[in-house]
Amino acid sequence: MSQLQEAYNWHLIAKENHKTILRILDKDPSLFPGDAIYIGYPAAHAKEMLLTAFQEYQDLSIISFVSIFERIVLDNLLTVASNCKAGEQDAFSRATVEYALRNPERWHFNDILDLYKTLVPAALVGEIKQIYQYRNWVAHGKNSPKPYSIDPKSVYQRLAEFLNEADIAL
Amino acid sequence: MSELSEYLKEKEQEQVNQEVHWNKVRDEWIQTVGNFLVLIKSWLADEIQDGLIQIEECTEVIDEEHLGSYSVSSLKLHAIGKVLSLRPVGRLIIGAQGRVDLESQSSGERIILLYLSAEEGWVYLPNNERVNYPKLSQSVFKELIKGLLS
Repeated sequence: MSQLQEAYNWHLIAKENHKTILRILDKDPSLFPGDAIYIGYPAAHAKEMLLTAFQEYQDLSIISFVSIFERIVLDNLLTVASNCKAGEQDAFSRATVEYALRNPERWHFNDILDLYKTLVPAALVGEIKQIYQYRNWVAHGKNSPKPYSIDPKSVYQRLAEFLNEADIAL
Repeated sequence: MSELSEYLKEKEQEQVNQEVHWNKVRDEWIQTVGNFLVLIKSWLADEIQDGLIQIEECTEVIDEEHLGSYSVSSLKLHAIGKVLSLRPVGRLIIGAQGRVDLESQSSGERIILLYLSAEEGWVYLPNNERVNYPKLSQSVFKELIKGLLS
């Protein structure tokens, strides 16, 4: 199982737990253990807190998925570039590839995504850029208006689809 | 009766048994609060008799999911020019089967009292403690009142 699939499975397990907690909350909130952080809170208030926490958790899941995806794509690009360097006869071309390979962390991820337009439909690349924008919005403290709404499931599906189209092993 | 019919009837009965009877839960809670306030008054009987504490009987309206809107008794304790209220917050409470707040109306300081169950009775929630909640007794309750009035 790939790291991206593993992360998605963890997310699904946490989501199930969240649903179970909400069900218990709905049926009998007294069943919560005595050391629960929201002990003594009215159930309705605790429910609101849980829903807010779950929304935050969903956003953190998206950050996690995108980080894993970014690593997979960068690794793939480094492999492709290394292969190019090995096959390059011309010294200047080889030096250029070498230079690019020296600082992969400085590459702009949006530019990298554009490189894949030869393999991946442009519309899907656009969607991944939007996801990346959402990821940045969360990672930078949600200081600006929310760019749009997105859920972990569709993020995972888009990222997996991209990797599949680019023929990168999940 | 076919096997399927038997199965369906059995499942239907299981569902009925599992159903939470919210009206009963609400009525029992109202009764629990009433009994608790009677107990409080008995704990303070000496102070009430000596005129050191005056009791004011009140009613709160609470609205909770499943239980709807309902009226429940509450108390105000008047002493040394200050007012403490014993105000039910709700029945559907995390980790408990009900909550009543003991609150100073002048300072806003509040102590959360939780009803755990018929067996475990009432406890109070200390500020920084998350386990082993102290059981409420006459002496504990009087100490809490002293703290709020000081």
